[in-house]
Amino acid sequence: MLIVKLEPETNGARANQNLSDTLDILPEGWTAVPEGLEAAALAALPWLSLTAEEGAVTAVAENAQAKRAFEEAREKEAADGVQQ
Amino acid sequence: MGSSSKTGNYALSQWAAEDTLTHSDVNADNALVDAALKSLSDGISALPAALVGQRFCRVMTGTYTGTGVYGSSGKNSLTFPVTPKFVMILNAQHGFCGIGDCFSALWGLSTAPRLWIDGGQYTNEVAAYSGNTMTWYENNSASRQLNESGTVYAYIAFA
Repeated sequence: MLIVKLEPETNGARANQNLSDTLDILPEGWTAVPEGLEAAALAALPWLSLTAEEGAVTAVAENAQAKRAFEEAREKEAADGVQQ
Repeated sequence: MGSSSKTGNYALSQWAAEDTLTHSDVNADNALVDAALKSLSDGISALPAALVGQRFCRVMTGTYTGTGVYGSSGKNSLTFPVTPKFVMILNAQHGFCGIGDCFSALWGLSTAPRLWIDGGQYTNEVAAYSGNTMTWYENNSASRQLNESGTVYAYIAFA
């Protein structure tokens, strides 16, 4: 069972947990990814964007923009570290 | 002449080419099979009663993919179906508990879980436990919080 946090982190990544068990009660602010979308969601994590209708996830996709921004920031950080 | 030999476990009839098939052999075999099935069925029926009062350990496992955030504004959390007594979290890509790869927590213990880092040092994870959910953070880096972006971490919990 894959659950993800509804609110992304400050860097655009999404907190997640892939359980071998099932949860009867989801933690507040989290939602379950439907079984049919799990593989796509796992491949995109942690850069996952969600489409939800009435609280239920209906589509998942990679948040390429957030991923690129994070990678660029990390590369810049590494370059700055080398210069110092 | 009826069956000339018997099977090793339940003494069921075995016939050689020269043996004749007799009703008494077949009836005796059916009686043996009937008794063996009854015994098996009684044993299975008695199992739940035998298990009452026994203590069992429930093992819960799973993974999460790190998000790259850390500190009090970027906490991690894990939620379990039941409240665990012990949780261990480790870098699944390394597959073992090396330096900087894992920490474990006794549920509810006020002493901070420790992650060993280079030079024989350790860092404290700031952990909290509420209901079936554990949250934690570390103040220096996502990797020390076991939350490096894109890294898959595994956990095992015992309840």
